[in-house]
Amino acid sequence: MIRAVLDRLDHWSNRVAESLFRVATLGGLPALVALVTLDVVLRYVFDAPLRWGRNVNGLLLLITMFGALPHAWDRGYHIRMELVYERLRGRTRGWADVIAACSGVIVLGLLLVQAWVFVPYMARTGETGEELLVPFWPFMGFVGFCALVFVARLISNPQALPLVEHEGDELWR
Amino acid sequence: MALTAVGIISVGALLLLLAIGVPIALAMAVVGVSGLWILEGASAAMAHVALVSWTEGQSFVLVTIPLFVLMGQLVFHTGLASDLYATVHKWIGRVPGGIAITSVLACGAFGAVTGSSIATVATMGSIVMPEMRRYRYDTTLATGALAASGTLGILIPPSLIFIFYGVMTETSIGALFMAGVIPGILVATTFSVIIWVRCLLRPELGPRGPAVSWGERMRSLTGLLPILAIFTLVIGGIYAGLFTPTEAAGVGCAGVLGLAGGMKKLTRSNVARALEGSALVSAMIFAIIVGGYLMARLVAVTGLTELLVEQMIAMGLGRIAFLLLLVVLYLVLGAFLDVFGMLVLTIPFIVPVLNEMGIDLIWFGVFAVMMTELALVTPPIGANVFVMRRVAPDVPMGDIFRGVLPFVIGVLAVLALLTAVPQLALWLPGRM
Repeated sequence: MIRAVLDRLDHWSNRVAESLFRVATLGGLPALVALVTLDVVLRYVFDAPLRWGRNVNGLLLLITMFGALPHAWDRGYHIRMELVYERLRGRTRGWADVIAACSGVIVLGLLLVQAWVFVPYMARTGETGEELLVPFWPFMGFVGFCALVFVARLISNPQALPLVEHEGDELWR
Repeated sequence: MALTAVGIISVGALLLLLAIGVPIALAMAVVGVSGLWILEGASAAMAHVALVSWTEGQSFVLVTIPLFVLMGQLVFHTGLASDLYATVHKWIGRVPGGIAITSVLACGAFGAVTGSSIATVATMGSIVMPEMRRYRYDTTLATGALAASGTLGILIPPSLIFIFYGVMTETSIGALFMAGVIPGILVATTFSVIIWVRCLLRPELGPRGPAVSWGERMRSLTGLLPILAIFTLVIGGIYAGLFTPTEAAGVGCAGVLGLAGGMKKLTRSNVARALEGSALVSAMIFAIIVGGYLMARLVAVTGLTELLVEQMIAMGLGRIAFLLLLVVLYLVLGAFLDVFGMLVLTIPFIVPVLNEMGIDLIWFGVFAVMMTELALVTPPIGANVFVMRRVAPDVPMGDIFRGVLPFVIGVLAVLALLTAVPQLALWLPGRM
């Protein structure tokens, strides 16, 4: 029963994590490059920098970072002290993985709960950027959703073993 | 419970979690938030997690990280710097140990635009190692030179580690970049001199390469143009005050895309792989920064930093003694931790002491980055050495570590020079 639930959680959360990653890599990051460059060009060529540029940059960074986080865990993109960990075997190593995953669940869980509290608050107070009059609550909601997916990935893949090794991963890890 | 007691227990818990292999970002975040929970209550702890994530997630300075990583990934995946080695070889290859010296200079240039020391070793290693074998170079010298030269990438700007340090200490990233230029050149020169002298004394270590005509040398210079153009655009732009580091990173990405497109090296899969790699690395660094900030908040609330500063002052350590202590500390930490881990764990504690002692934070950035360079080539972690071993699987690990040793001494010598003459690092930033 528990196995079946975990399998479904794994399947669902992995698909969502990959989708969020695509939002980060195909949406957030290219948009960030384009916007920063455009802002420089507009400033020097047309003397007309984007007033809302920094606000949008910030939001794009938020989307890119939080969108990529759950999948980065699945690809093994994290830094740990491996001297002792690599020598742990069997149940001891299993416990180390559980402690690592629990640490993540605590932090991301708290972020999720707080985002849950902040979203209605931000919507009620109409919080927007300084120059960009776009409501911020959907972005806080996005942060909360990414935290939820990350928690699901921590439970489904506590060892953070790369699901698939991609060429060149080790060069940048 | 007394504030400092919570602080000391938290540091102990952090070390324990790190020792059993909990990822650094999670270990720091969970200890930070647990400590804040104990001291300030649950709602305050939750607010800290959300506010740090929200604020840092939108920080304009942090935009620099994914953009510079992307620039490096684009250079790497498009093979824009593939002619670099051939060009430098034509100019330097003829002197004793010339191919090894070429690898130092090519690694410095390649690392400068990719910012990843490991990618530099892997790329340059696979190009240069077969050449060194062809000319019967001593494998200890060859692998040691390559593994050590890869570290130049994090000292010569633009460097990801400088950005990371700048974000954590709230110092100017542009000034840090400039501060790395002269020390980077000094380290590259020191490495080259070490190779040259060793090969002059024992010519069998690194025989001379073939003679190349001046015409050929001049024609080969076109191979340097892409790297030179990107470096000038990014670093020249920052130095001239045209761009902030964030803007320079964006313009650098656009520049690499334009150059790679012009050279017909841009493919959809190259760009996709670069975007993927950048998002993954940036997310990893972002998580460490958030974890580091949460831990730093706890350390500040507990007054642990004040205690540390008081203890340091009570010990009556002078500037040199304190820096020597840090050299030892970083050498020990480098045996267990990755470069980001070393910095994020020490900065919250060290920066207040540095301020108290009047040590310039820009100068210390160079010092810290050079110490992390050593961690990349010293046992037991020595990430560059492991990559080098994969490039040259027949060379025993012990031989590579032995080959790296003269270069480690070289870095320590440059570090001593920088300590004696801080202006070597601070002169360029002072002229911005």
